[in-house]
Amino acid sequence: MGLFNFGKAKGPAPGPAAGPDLVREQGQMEDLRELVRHMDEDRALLIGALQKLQPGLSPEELASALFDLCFRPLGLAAFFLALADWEADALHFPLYHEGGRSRPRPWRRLSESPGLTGQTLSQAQPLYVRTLEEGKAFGVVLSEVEKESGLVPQSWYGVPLGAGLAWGTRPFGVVSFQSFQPDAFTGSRRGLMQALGEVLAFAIKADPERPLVGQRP
Amino acid sequence: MGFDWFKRRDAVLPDRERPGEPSQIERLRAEVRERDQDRRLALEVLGILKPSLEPRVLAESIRNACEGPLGLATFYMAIVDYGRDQLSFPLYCEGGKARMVAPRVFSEFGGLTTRVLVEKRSLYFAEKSLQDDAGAAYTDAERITGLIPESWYGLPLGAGPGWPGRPFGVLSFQAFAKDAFSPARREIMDAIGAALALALKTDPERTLRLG
Repeated sequence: MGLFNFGKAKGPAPGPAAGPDLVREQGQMEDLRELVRHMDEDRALLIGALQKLQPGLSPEELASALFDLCFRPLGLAAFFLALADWEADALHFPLYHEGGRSRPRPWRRLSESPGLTGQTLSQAQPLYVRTLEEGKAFGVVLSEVEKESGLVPQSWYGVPLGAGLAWGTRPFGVVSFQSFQPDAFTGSRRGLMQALGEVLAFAIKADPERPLVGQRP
Repeated sequence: MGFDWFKRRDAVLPDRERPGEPSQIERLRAEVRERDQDRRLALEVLGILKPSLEPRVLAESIRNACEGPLGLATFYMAIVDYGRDQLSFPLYCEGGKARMVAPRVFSEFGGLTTRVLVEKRSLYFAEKSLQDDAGAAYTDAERITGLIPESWYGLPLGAGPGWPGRPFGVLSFQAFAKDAFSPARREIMDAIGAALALALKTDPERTLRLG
């Protein structure tokens, strides 16, 4: 999938330009520069994630490293890592960042209040909720801070960790990116966040001492 | 059109290009194209990497994704078994096809792959003469045909602060063109290598401490 059909959309570069053509070209160049900035930001996020998310770190440390990378470029209001304990019917939050800082969030029973995280886990695919109204329809579970302050992110994007047959029957967690802006995350940005979730899943479950598949121990 | 128009015109004129050179807008379009290609490549690779697959299968997926966008002539994955003193090549693609390359005694093999493993860092040789100087060991096909890639980039698998000990392998990207891999491209290749190393060592059954 190409991100941008800029070549066709913009047409050939103008020749010796008259006034209005120059103005149009100037506008096109500003658009392109903005695009380059945006793509550089995405690129830095991907490369940064693959440099920072190293094996041997705890899930909390890994999530924290990912949050530090993403917070500003993605304009996040909240971010969390949830890990599912399917046998104990529990959802744990090694990192829950909201209101400008990391806060402990108690575990909860998955079956009693699944919320958007539970939906993401059960569907085993990314879930994008564009507004709080949409979130309520999905059964959003508000945090204490959200209830008290009334400051609730509008956009919610959750990526399941460890989804797909190669990983087993069910995902082992969810990473969630949230913004106060409604419909804050474009399709392109969601693709990037999904890729970041995949890197996080690999890093959480990586074991440097593990023999390679097919390699004799 | 009045004074403002002249101001805009003045602002643009210094940036106008010389005849025969790509215009600024063409250069910007090229920058966007390269970034778009890199982004698609990185996302594609992250989408195809799965845990519990054999190194050869993962390397083949990466080669299929990278061959076109990176203009590769040769691509291989080498895995080292320090205990057995053996260097094996789960995938070695050159001349458009995968070739069987027999395992080598690691301590006796002093090519560029060994240098990457020993130095625990990526190495780039922008032309063949630099590879020669660095002690490149050519394959039979390369010696017979004389078709030797000019650009050679090798990165270690399993190197970095989270990886104890020595790297467990090398990924090598090669192209016939001289200096084929820009610094930005090499960063993307490093990222691909880092993702591959994680995927190769991921254990889906690994128990996490919760609560």
